[in-house]
Order: sequence, then C-alpha cells, then structure tokens
Amino acid sequence: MKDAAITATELTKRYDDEVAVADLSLSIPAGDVYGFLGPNGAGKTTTMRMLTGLTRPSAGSATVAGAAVDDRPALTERIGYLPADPPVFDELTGREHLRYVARLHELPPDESGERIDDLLARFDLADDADRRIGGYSTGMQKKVGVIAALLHDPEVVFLDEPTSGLDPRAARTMRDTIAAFADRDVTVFLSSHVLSVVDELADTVGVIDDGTLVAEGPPTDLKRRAHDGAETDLETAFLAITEDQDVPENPVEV
Amino acid sequence: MVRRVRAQDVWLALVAVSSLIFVAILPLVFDIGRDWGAAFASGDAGPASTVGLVLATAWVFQVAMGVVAGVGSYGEVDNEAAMLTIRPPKDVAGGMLLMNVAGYAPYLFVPVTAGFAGIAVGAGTPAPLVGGVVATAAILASAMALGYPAGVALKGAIRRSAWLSRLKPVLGAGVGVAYFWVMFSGRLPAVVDALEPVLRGPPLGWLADLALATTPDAGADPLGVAAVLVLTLVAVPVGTLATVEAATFAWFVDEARETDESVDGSAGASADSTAAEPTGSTRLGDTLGALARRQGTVGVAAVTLVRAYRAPLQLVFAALPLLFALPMVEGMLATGSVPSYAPWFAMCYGAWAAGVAAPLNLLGNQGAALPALLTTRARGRAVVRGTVLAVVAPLAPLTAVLAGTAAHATGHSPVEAALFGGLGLAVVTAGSVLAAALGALFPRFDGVDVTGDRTATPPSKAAFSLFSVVVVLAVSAAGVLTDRFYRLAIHAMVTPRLPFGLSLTVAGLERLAFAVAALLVVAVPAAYVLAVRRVDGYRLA
Repeated sequence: MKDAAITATELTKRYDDEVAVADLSLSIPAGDVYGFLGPNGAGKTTTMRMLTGLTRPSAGSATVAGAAVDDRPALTERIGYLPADPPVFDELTGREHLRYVARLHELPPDESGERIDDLLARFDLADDADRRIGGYSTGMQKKVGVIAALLHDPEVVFLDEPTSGLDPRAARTMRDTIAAFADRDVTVFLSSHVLSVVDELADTVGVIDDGTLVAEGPPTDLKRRAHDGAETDLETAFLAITEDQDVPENPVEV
Repeated sequence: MVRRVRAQDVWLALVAVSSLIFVAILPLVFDIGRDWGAAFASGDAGPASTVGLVLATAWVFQVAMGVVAGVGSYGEVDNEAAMLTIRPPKDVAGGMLLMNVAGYAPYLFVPVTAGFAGIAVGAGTPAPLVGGVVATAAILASAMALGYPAGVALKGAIRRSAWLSRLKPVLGAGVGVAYFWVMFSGRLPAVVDALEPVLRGPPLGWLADLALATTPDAGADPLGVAAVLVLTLVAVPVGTLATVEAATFAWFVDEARETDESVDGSAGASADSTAAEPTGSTRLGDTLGALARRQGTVGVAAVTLVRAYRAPLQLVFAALPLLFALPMVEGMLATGSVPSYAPWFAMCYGAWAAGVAAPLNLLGNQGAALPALLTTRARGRAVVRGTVLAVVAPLAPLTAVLAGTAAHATGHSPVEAALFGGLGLAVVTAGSVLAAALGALFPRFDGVDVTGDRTATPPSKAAFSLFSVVVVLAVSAAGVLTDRFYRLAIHAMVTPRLPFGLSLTVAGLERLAFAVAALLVVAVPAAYVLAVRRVDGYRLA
C-alpha cells in the first residue's frame, strides 16, 4: 500500500450561502494519476485551488505530499500547478517566462537553463521560445504553462485541462509526459474534459457533481458500474453518473 | 453593463472632467465670434485672416489626429478574424474611416459651431453658420481622408519591420511627450507662427473663404470657395481608396519577428547562442543579481522592468502628473532660472511615480500569472523586494540627480545639493515600500480601457488616494524641516485655512512636520512587513 500523496478530509468551500465544494474527502496514493471529472461549474477548479493553497477552505483539511494546504512555503516546494487559463505574461517571450518561473523557484540559472531548453525541445517549442507569448496560440501558451509547472520537479502536479487547445502531437507529448511522471512516482491530479485522456492515464477517477464527489474508482470499474456490470466507455459512464439526479449522501464506491 | 461602467469609473471621471472643461470654453469662443461678427458687420474684414489661421490650424491638428487614430488602436479591427472573413476589407476599412470621422466630429463641430454662432449673432444674420458648418465638414472629411490612411499605412510599416516594432514604445513616448510639451508649455503659438506661411497660403488659406462665404462683408474669395470644395470632393474618394489599400497593407501581414537578442539581453533561440549564454542567465538578471541575493527577487524585478518597457501603456497613470511639470520646465528654459520648489517637486514626483508604476498594485499587476507566482517558492519578501527594486533601480538615481541638480541650481551649496540627492534616493525607496503595503492591502484586478482594445490595470482608488496623500505629507514634512523658504511658504499656505479658529506658528509647523517625519520613518519598515505578510497570506477568491 503506497502512502497517500493527497489527502482531503471533508474539504468544503462556501461563497456566502453557495456551497462550491461540500465535504470532499480524498486519498490519492503517491505516483497515481487521479482523473478528476465533472460538469462545468461542478467544483473542479475550486477543489484544485484549495489543494494548491490558492483558496482557503471554509472547512475541512487537506495535505499534499505531506504539507498542509495552509502551509504555503512547504506546499509550494512540492507542487506544480497548471490552471485552465495558462498563467503567463503576454509581454514576455516563452523562454523569458520560464526563466522567470525558474527564478521564482530559486533554481540556479545555469541548472534551470538546461532544464528549460530540454523541456522546450520536448514540447516542440524551441523554435518559438524567443517570440512573445502574446503572439502564441492557445496551445503554445498551454505548453509554456505546463513546462512552468514541471520546471522544479514537483512531487505532485495539478493539471487543469492540460490537453485542451493542443494539437494532436502536442497532446500526445502531454500524455506521454504525464505517464512518464507517474512512472517516476510523481502524483498527477488531472482535471480534464477529454475523457479519452483520463481513461488512458488515470489509475483512479473521481467524479464531482454540484460540489459533491459522486463516484470514485478505477476507470474500468466506473465504466462497468454505470451500466450495471456491462462494460461501456468512460464518456457514457460519466454521462450516466452526472445526469440530473439527486446527489447521493455518500460517493458511490465501485 | 453596470459592472462594466463601474470598472471604467476612473476613465469616465476623466472624460466627464474633460467634457466640463470643453463646455466651459464654449462661451468664450462664442464671445470672440460675436466680436468678429460685429467687426464684419461694421465693414471691417480684419478678423477674416484670424478665422483662416484658426481653421487651417484645426485642419493640421485634425490630420495629426487622423494619423494617431490610424496608427493606434482605432486602426485595428475588433475580432479581426471574424470581421475580415465576413466582409471584404474594403467594407471594413471604409467603415473604420467613417467611424473615426464620426468619432472626431463633435470635437470639431461643437467649438466651430459655437464660434460661428457668435459670428452670426455679431453680424445680425444666421447666414455665417451655413459657411461655418460646411467648412467644418470639409475640414473633417479632407483631413481624415489624408491622415487616417497615412496612420494605417504607418501601422503596416511598423508591423513589417522588426526594428520599428522594437522602437515603437520609445517612438510612442517621444511623440506623446512632444504633443503634451506643445500643448501645455505654451509652445503652441510659436508652432503656429512657424507654420503661418503654409497655414495662410493656398490651399489651407482657402478654408477661410469657404467658412466666410456666407458672412456678409468678410471678403471671401469665390475662387477659393470653389477650389476648396473641389479639393474636398476629390480628397474624400481618394482618401477612402487609400484607406482600403493601407488597411490591406496593415491587416494582412505576417508581423516581423524579433530574431536577434531580446530586450533583456537574453540569448536567442539558436543553439550557438544558447551555448554561449545559458538560457537561465540574462544580462538584466545578472545586473539585478548584483543588487539582490535571491533569485525570486531578481526574477520579479526583471519581469516588472521588461513588462513596463514592452507595455508602457501600463504606466500612463504614473505619467499624467508630468503634464504639470511641463510649464515649469518651459518657464525654466524661458527665464534661465530654476524655481525654488523644483528639488521638492522632483522628489515628490519621483516618490509618487515609483510607487504608482508598480508597487501600488503589485498583486493586481500579475494578471493571469498570479496563480503561478503564488504556487512557487517565492515568498512575499521576494515579491515585495523585487517590485520595489524594479522601480527604485531606475527611478531613485534619476530622482537623486534631478533633485540634487535642481537644488544646486536654486542656490544651494554643493553639500546641500548632495544631501538633496541623498534625500531623493531615500524618499523614492520609502515611497515604493509604502506603496507596496497599500497595493497589497487594496489590490485591483480590473483593467480599464486606455485606448480601444488596450487595457491597463491601475491601482485601486483607495491605494491611489492614500498613497498620494502620504507622499505629499512626507515630502512636505521633509521640506518644512530642511528648507526655510519651503517652511515659510507652507506656513503661509496652511494658516489661513485652519478650521475652528486654530492657529499654528512656524515653530509649531516644524514640530508637526517632525512628528509626521518620525511617523513615516517608523511606517516604512512597518509597511514592508505588512506588504510581505499580505502577499504571503494572499488567497484567490
């Protein structure tokens, strides 16, 4: 049994009277890829923000790689985060932005330079690295954001829609990169609407709907459960799980 | 809609103030027109030459506005990809020209109509209004038909040239300063004098003939009237065609890419240059590294400087008070003497600009990149120090030199001038630290439209107001404590305005200034600690 890289206990976020995430409990083993699915507005981004220390939970607690989410100095050394909107400066070139992030992580310039060059080449961005990000396509901006999230070799990586806007080759590179990270015992918390990516990579899938975790388990079990034991695809399973229905009090165990 | 209007409240307030000023001068224009109309009615055609000069100047000004509109954001299509695939470029370009003509129309028609309404009243007949309105339409149409396509073509040239693209911020700043210099330093009459032969001669001189064609006894030449009408009728279609050509040149272009060294001196993309200078290293970073130990501080400082250089519109709010300095500089050049308040003005502005330029919104300035900053190892200390370093490094030495030089020029001894310089360094640093605290306390993330599709994220109103008050208080206290003339001037200014029958002696003012200065000395380290803690504890909503 591997140690848990991410644990959450009754994690809750309220905005005034509105509950964005309710009593979310998770236990994700180190080195796993955790696919986090849910309809728009279900609470995926809020959950990721709480787990990365960007948003303070209204109740509950969580740790990531042993660091409590309210201990930002300890947390930020262990995590990498790619939000859905790439967190980049339009005025900088791709290389300058990555150099900036490397400095924020206190990486020595010579060491970070090699790593930036390596990742730029890996994501097929080396030829455009000295152009301003403002002129990049969405996919290219996403690549810069991903590289920035991986620069400091984090133990846990949170990826919000990492493959959206990427061309097929870049999407494949992204999938290979995520798989390679998992092989190196890096834990990946992967939120995506591209269900084939989640199906291919995730060891466990969690489905959140209306702020509540409504299903959790290996993709194969989830697919089987959605159709009473008959195998189906993840999309059909997802649609079945998140169709308009009363949210169960406890997540469905599969 | 309400939220959008509220988000633009600073800009709307500026527009409202500008409109009030505009409306306030209309009665003056009307009165001048009435005097001229009375002169025409009495058989004196003398004012005709002044009318001609004014209209010709307006035409030149309108051409310049057309160029600025074309080269700026009003020469760009919103949702370009959609618009240019729905309608052919000639339709879009024609529409853009029409939009710009309509946009400038009130600025020209309202004052000219007020003037000609005055002439009509003075002359005792409404007829002058007809000529005035027709001439205004001719000025607007012909000037925009010339200026706008020229501006759009210039935009195309800039987009195609890596060299011009790189120089654009510098050129833009140069043109902006030159414009405000002419407008606010009293140089406008001198410029008009220099251009007078061109403005009075044909074809610009004919504008007066058209404008005064319906004014009795104004001496308008029918030949000039016909000539200017024909020229306008030719200029409009030719200008429209030129706009279409210029727009095609500007819009359908692969923008020039910078392939050589980027602004901060980083290595290019080639393997050779990468080998020569590792990607992680930059000249700017290395230079700042001599001033700061931590990489995070260097990173924040370098990026703040590079972004300011490449997107100078972000600094437009910090530059506005400089307009008030132009008359002072003009006066200095004209009289050869420096006003005694110049060193204090330099310090006050230096400290204020340093704060407003970046620290006063150090979180909001991060925009979409804020999550990246907050999930890295950089602590609040690095963010605050880096932001302060970015403004202090260029502005503190500049302020020190200006304050010291101004002090020397106003009769202070070299030692005193050096002290002024040192004080300049201190107030800029202190100002930026105080600004960082206020910026961290009152961040603002909503941008305001500066021009068309260009937005800037100014500091919040609370931070802006509080910081301005603090800077004025700080520099006033320093002035009262160190400069006898300043002390007396402040005393003379303050004492008559004290409420509740309060009185204040000069010695009392000194004690008060000392208390303020002492408070600020304590406030600066406290502000630093506060800013660091706020950044460390900052969470997204």
